[in-house]
Amino acid sequence: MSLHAIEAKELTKAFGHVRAVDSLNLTVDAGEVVGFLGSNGAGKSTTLRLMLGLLQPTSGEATILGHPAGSPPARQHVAYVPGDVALWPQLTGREAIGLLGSLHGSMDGDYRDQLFEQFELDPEKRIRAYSKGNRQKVAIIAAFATRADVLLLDEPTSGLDPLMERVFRDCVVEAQARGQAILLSSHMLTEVEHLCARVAMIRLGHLVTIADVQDLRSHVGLEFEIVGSVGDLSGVAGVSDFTFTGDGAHLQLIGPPGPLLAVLATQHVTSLRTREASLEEIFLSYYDQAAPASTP
Amino acid sequence: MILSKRSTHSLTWRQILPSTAVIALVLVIVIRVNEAAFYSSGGAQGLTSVVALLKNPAISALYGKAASLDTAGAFVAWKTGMYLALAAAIWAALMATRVTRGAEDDESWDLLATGRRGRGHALASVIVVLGEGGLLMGVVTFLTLLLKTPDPLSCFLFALGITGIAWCGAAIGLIVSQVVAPRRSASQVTLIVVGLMFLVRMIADSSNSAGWLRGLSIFGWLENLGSFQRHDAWWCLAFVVPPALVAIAAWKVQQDRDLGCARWTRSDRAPARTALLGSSWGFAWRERRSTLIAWSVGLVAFGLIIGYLTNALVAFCRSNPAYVRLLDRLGFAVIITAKGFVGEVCFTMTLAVSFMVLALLVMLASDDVQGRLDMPLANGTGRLTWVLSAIVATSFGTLFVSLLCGLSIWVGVEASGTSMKLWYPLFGMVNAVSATPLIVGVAVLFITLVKRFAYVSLAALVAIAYLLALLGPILHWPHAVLLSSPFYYLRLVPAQAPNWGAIVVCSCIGLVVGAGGFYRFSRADLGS
Repeated sequence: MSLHAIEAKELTKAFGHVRAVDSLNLTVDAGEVVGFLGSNGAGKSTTLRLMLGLLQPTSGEATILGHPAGSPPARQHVAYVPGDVALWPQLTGREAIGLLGSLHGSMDGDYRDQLFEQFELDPEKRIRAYSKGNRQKVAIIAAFATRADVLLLDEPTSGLDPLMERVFRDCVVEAQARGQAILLSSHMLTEVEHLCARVAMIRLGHLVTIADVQDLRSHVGLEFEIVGSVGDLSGVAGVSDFTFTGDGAHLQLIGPPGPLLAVLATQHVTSLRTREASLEEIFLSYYDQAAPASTP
Repeated sequence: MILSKRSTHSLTWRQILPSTAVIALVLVIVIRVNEAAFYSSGGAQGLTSVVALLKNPAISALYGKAASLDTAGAFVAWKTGMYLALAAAIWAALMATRVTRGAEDDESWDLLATGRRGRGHALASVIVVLGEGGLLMGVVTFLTLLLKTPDPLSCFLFALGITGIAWCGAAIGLIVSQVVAPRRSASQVTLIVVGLMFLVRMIADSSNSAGWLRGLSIFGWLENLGSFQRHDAWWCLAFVVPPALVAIAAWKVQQDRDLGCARWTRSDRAPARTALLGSSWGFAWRERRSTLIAWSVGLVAFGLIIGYLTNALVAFCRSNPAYVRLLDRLGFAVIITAKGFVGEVCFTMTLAVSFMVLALLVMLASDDVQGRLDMPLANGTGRLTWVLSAIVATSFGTLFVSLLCGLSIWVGVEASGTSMKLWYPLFGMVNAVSATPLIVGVAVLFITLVKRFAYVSLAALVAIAYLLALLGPILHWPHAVLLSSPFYYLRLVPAQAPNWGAIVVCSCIGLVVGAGGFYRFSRADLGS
């Protein structure tokens, strides 16, 4: 049996009567970047904090490279970037990163200095003088410079400008190439779309789905915009949401395109445009589907 | 977001309410207990004849100038007035830094300041709440005193003094918050200012020639008010005008500066000093260093002054047998010798040292509440190592400050002309911190149980336990009640031998309770 970098088994966390995370199962392997999507209060941060051992599970378990979350060997392999970075205000950025590196036990000094430059962070400023974005950079640099095997990132780019987001993406790509496992919780779907081959969606503490982005796309389907004179295609295998437009038709296709293309070949089509669903559309689609079943 | 003045008002009250309730409760308890002490000491008849003797400089420095102690209220005002005033001033000053500088530090003030009425109204609301808090202290004091003292005017003046002192403390906190950041530094500066004012009052009362110094201290103003003596009501103005002017100045400074920044602040840039950042052990020490320095300054100054009074007190006692009899009735007979006096001073220091221990340990809780533990504990140190680091830094820091304090007492004693072996006050201070293991153990448990209110609840517990030990024996309280206070077991070292058995038992209890706290902390949800 292969060892997952991150594994959650029936992970559950209840705060009083509220189940913030409910029977969540999730794995992330080495060299993989998994996006973790969900609306506000869906349970993303709680899940990550359970995986870090900052919260104690009500039931189930989370492991890091086979070690129980929060245990000493697990902590050695983990680095964390919170969405709202809180550090000691009197420390400078360099001191804070030095402290976190010392506590972790490893710090790639050259890479840290390189990240200072890439993120354009002035490390001699005190934490209290940093903007939210700069505090976020401190946490990102501290986490990536440890070269930890597992990175748990909770809204890491909140507060970063687009240029810095790009630098962050480069860091993630490099970390992935080094074989580090990354669980990336984010509201920024374009960021997740760029970086993650697999995404997990959580809603009201329940895992809605976890799958490859391509599989999710095929589930949501391909959007067709047809210009020309076509008949009613709603009966064709895989076609849904068929509507006539002023100059043709619009439809959604789920499944293999063969039957539809065969029918279209017999019709007078002047142009055909297809578009894959964006992650945002996939996200909304899954959320809409999950809503009635999950709403108490 | 539009926040009305009323909502700012209630929000601020919510922030200060728990500590206000605790301080008000302490006021009631202290007053009632000392009224009982008054009657157990023979009441007015038993004390009036020796009032003149209480004007000894050393006694005056400790408690203020004694006047006619013909009512329970007069006795309470003399015996505890200065310390009640000190508690009220510290409470108000710390609340002022919390609701102004603290709110700016965590950016919650931004919402208030950007509301429809703006930052000026927000600060005005805060000032009103602090004023109401001070007023509440006065009302509580007045009503409690009135129960046993049929002298409404005197009770009213004394209560007004307590209110005024609270207003002055709040004003100090307000102005310091405008010029010093972050909150921790502002609180330290505020405490130093209040502490220095208390020391100035002590110096003023220790010698007739230094009496003019009373005018420089808010605590001196309380004495000048003469609430149970001459009713010098003009001094009421001192409790109204200066704090009002300082509050206005604070308001003006706030209008003219950037929100989130103090007027005088350390540079935002600094070269990295990596010393003590290599482990949680080093960092625990570094985090507590400035707090230790602030407490050291206060306690060393107090030790020097109180030590300097030794010779005067001992000489006075030798020449006044009636005074010795009075001290015996009040339970202070041991202080008629230099060793006894030093032992009593060290016992008094126990309370301050205990509060320092709490301040150092409760940083754990505030770091947790602020979310600062998330990153270190997620990808680094274990929880128990972090807590142990805090305990070790607190324990060694406390021992160091205590020894420093012992040294300062010795320097004061020697400077007063009394010869004393250095190890006497050092040993006395070591004995004074012997309750620390128990306090640490209970504090660790409380931090996991009520982390948001850890300091308030622990400080109340320590204050009540201290009062039990101090006044319980005089009031002949049941032995079982007295046994519940760890301070009850403390002996007046070096005049008496330490109670080793009790120290060991208390330490073991602290160890067990602390282990319970450890266990809870290791399984607690952090940051919530």
